[in-house]
Amino acid sequence: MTFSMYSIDEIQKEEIEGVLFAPDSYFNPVQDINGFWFISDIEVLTAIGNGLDGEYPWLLTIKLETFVPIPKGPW
Amino acid sequence: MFSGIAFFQTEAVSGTVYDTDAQAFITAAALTSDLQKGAINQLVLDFKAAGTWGLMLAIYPFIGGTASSHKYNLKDPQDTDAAFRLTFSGGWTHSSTGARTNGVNAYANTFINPSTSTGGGGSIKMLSTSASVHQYHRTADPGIGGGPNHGGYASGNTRMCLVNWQSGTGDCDSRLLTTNTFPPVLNAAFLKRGNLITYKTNGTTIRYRTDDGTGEPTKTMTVTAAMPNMLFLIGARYTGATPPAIGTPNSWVNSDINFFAIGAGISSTQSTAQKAAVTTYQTTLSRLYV
Repeated sequence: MTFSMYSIDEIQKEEIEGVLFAPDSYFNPVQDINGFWFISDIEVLTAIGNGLDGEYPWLLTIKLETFVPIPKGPW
Repeated sequence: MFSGIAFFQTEAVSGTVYDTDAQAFITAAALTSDLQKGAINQLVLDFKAAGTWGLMLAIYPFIGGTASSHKYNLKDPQDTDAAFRLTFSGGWTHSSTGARTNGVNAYANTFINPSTSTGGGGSIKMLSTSASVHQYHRTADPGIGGGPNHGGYASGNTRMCLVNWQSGTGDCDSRLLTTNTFPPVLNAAFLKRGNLITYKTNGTTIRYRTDDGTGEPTKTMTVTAAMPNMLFLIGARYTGATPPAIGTPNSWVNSDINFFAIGAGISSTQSTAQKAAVTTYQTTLSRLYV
């Protein structure tokens, strides 16, 4: 199973990790099976809607890419 | 005369007196809907009637439609980690049907550490011989398989506090303060949504209460030697860190989550009453499982 997620680089990941993108909601970048960093469409669209593209203008230019999740465990 | 009647009705509605615990939550979550207020009030009354209100560390009703209302713990509706208020990370969708994870990076931190957290002035505590977790999913998880994935585990996966249906197979093998033991109890024939209560009142038997009839599947498991030093997550499992660090959550849930309660052990009779309370609550809000 694959997903479409917004691909970000290591620097962008460091900028937003743990930052609020909406009230009571924090960015949570995750790595895919290939080691690339991604955030979800909900995070990006909500952040832009809340004006965070002023502080992080790259939110407007990052692209949806195929996210291949790391297979679940079992452990 | 008509204006007098109208005045009386308005007063009757606005003057509704709720249970004090319900009112504290209603105020914190800024609920304005009379339907939602009434549902919360009835939920509190039903938990108290069931005798389980005083056994819970946290009750998350996921009501109000926003992260700012979904975050509150009904038992202690303060906006603090110590009150076990949720913080949401990643791609959650909040709506009137509850909180939906995205199966990729969404989780909520309860700040409940089974080994140290207490409630009720210290009287409520999870133990390897006394614990319960009650979850309600409106939808089944179409995910990619793996183990149960609310909660977490400590070093070496030998100290676990995990509950859920497995997303791929629908099996359920909750490890409620146990070691890592197979096989599952509930299998793919079960609903994989609705109520799932996992509970124990001794060190050897884990019991389940679901919406699959009135049965009470049980499983004998090995009690963990020590309680896991971890943080209980909703939507993923905690691993790879020592609190307060969050580590690397994984095994993501992909489902509508409408209710969660975490606490000490409850009896079989109490589990039946608590399941009925949550079913009534979801019915009132028109968000029974689909």
